[in-house]
Amino acid sequence: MPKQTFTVALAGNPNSGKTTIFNNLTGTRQKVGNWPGVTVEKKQGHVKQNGYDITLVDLPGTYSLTAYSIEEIVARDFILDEKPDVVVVIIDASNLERNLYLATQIRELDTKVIFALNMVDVAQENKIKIDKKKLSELLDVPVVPMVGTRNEGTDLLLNTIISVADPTQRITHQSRRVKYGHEIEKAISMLETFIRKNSKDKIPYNPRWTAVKLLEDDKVVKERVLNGTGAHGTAILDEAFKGRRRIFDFFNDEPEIVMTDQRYGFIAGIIREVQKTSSENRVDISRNIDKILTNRILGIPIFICLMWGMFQTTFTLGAYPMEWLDSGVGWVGRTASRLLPPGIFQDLVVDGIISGVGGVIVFLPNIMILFFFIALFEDTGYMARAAFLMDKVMHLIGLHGKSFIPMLMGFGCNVPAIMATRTLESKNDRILTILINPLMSCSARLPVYILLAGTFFAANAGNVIFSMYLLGIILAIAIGRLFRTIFFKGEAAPFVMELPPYRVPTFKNLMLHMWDRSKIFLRKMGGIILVGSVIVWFLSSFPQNIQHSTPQNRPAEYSAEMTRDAATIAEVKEAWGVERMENSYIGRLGKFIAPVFAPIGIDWRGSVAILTGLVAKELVISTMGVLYAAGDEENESEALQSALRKSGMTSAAALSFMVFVLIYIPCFATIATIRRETNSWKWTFFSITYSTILAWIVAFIIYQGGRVLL
Amino acid sequence: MNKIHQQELEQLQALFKEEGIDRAEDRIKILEIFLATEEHITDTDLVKLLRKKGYNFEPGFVKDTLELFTRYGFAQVNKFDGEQPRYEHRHLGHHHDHLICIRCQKIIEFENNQLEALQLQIASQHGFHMLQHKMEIYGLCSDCINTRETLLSLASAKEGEYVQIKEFTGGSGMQNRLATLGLRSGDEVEILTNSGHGPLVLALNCSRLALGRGIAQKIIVLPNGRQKGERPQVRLSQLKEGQKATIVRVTGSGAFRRRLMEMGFLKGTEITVEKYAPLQDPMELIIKGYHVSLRVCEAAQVFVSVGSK
Repeated sequence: MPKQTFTVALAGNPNSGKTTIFNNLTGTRQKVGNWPGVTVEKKQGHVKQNGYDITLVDLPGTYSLTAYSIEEIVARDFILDEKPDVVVVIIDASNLERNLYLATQIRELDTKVIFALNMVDVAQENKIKIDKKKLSELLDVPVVPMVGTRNEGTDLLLNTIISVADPTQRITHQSRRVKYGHEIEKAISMLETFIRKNSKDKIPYNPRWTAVKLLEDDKVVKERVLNGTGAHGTAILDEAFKGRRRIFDFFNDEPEIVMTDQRYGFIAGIIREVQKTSSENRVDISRNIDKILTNRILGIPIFICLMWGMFQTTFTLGAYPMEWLDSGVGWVGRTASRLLPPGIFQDLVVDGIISGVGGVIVFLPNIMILFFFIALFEDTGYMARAAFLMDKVMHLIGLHGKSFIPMLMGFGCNVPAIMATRTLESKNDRILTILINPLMSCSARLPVYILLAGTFFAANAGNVIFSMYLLGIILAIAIGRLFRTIFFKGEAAPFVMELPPYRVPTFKNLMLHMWDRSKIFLRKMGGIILVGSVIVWFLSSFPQNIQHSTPQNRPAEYSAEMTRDAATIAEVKEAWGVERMENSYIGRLGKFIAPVFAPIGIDWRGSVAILTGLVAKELVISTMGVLYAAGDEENESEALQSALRKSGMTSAAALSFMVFVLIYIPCFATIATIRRETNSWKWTFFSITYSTILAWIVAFIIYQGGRVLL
Repeated sequence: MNKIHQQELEQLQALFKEEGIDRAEDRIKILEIFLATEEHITDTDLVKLLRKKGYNFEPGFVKDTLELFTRYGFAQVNKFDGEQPRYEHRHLGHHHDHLICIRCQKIIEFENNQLEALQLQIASQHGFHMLQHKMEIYGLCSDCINTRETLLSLASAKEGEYVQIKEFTGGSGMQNRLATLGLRSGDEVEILTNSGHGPLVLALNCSRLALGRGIAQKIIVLPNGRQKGERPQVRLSQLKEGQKATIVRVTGSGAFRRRLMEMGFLKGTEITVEKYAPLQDPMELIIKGYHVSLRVCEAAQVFVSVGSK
């Protein structure tokens, strides 16, 4: 009875159409997560064919399998350690030579390989003829021609996978290895023999491959050899070093460079035999599109328009469903309060869980629209152009061109913005972008500015608000440069970025792309937000039995007695609200930490507002409404304004408050996102700490300076 | 055979007889041959020389004999710069010093009475009683200078000069170390600072590199512009939009070079500059039929020769 279930890994260059083929194979039956320990996206899916149950794993797209980036290490480790039954290498037929580099590296790994020759239609248009049979013969690998965008070849690929995965089939391509030059081969076989003798079978990899990698000074393999074989490992590494030294002396260059060169030499030989390019001036539509989209004069204006369009659509079009969701959440809340008996449990469900989680769920439309655009830009190939256009600007902060879009999105909401950093390949670039992203003033902070600037700087409100945004940008640049030099020393990742041909995206891919990411938002945010909201709700509603200064009766009874005097009722309610807040744990906490905020001109009420603002910035205003006792339901904001003026808050203090709100930790959702995207509590806590300290310092300077000047 | 040599042969015969040393006849033959050469000879070379003249002595015996010569004051042993010991004649009452070429290993003897006197004078100034001395001057012999007159040490290159690294004379350890800094033979560097003392500052592609004077002296360079017969190499970043070129070499740090090579930036590959970004920084290139972008600073590390193959 043959094996009925097996694992297949999909490998390939970025832009080789790997994701499309993966989607074709698995449809919606896929699971998106992260590879253990790293933040590289891992996609997994299932297919049932002819009674076989196939698990497909989409490896990260890479150009090679050296150990320079996490993606490469992840892909290589999966093949080496998880030993998938078959590895399918997706090869872009219109760019055979470069794609074969990765393919030959995978062939070196001692695993069953199938070449999926994708985009044969594009190759045909470009007058490139590939002799598939010959390619298959030369490398002893089954070659399946495909057109991923038209779902052609999917069945053939599946059937090939099934026949190759059959465990009775031996790996056939052993005999056809990459042949290096004489000197290198000599060094490889010497080291290989040494390894066979000394490893005591403790190195799980093929000795020849291990020898090649050691000669290339591969840090991951070196580490594993050392860990696996102890003292023998040291001897092996010494031997490898000697080999490297010999190669270096002979070629006067680093062995890995020489070997890369020779590997390409091997490929060039294959290309000569299997590929025929008949025409020189082929029509290159992409090139013509780029003549406009990355044009010297038009390029940047077009980019700005597209960004503006994306921004507008996300936050204006998104506002409608957001409103529906908001009222939906409201309705759920009201229904819950009707159904549940009044009491602590009702409060917990309505004020804690529903309003807390609801406050985050309302961002879903924004996020979906935003990710639709990002998917559109990525799938068409425009994302690479955006990075190309903006790289100079971002390089000033020590960032990659691709960081521009997350930074821009930060002005809308930091949550999707931080999630958008997934498009960045370098881990350092990604963490740096995530760390400074909250300095982009998100839309939830705007109401705070509007209120305070309107109250204290009526004539110049616009300028004050604008300068908040500007301050955020300046701080982001300064902090970015600072962090780059402190934490991410060394060079920024080289900007070797392919500008893939423009492609018409398929609707299915766009939807899957968008949905994958939105799902992460929904599922993963849920937990932390839920806990956070419940904590804040608990802190602000306990202890319950507070001694009120006005009559002890419940407000309902009280109002029944004094129905004629509505104003008094309101006053009493208001006073009770203040007292409840003041005596709650969060109020006490606010009072407790008030001394810390005193030097920046924020009193205990401001402190409490800042604490509740952790859940969501929108709560800052509503908390202030309660604390500053601006009761009047009809005209809340005006009432709050006058209440603020009466409270003795100065304009310097207001400015300081705005600055603090601008800089300190955005909200629970952002923290949760940072945690998720950096995959590290260390960076999460660092982000919280640095932003709070920075907020205090800048607010201190503003407040103390303002006291003198204003 | 000159007079001194004849005298010495006779002295040796007498001495060996007196001391009762075995195979005196053979040893005298060896001395004859040894005296006939004016080279600074190693024991293995002497064995070969003897064989040429028809004497087949075992190497151990020859070495032993040379040591005897040294002990009895007929030969003198020199160890130049950590090499195998070399033997030369020792003529009583005569003393000479050596000039050693570091390129072709030639050894030139010289005698200078003024120098000898000066040595005594210096020793006595320090109240030092001189017993013996050894004077070895290392450098390039006139032949080597003539054949490689254009080469100079990096330390003596002028500020603002562009030079090409030709050779490292400091051993492969130093070469390895410099290679990790990105300095390899064939690289072109600009001398930013060279004040005649203290470290030199070089511009290597987009980075600055400070090198100690000691290391710089061991790097042999060719001032650019004196090169003959080679097509002019330019940096990829110096090309204009639409220009085509062929890659000559990729310089820079190991990781960067490898990344580029994996993407197909190989020697001999044709490359076209498609365009520069609107803000002038990254540039778009076409290589092996696909488009790729590089920062200008990174492109400066790729050397090309203009015009397609």
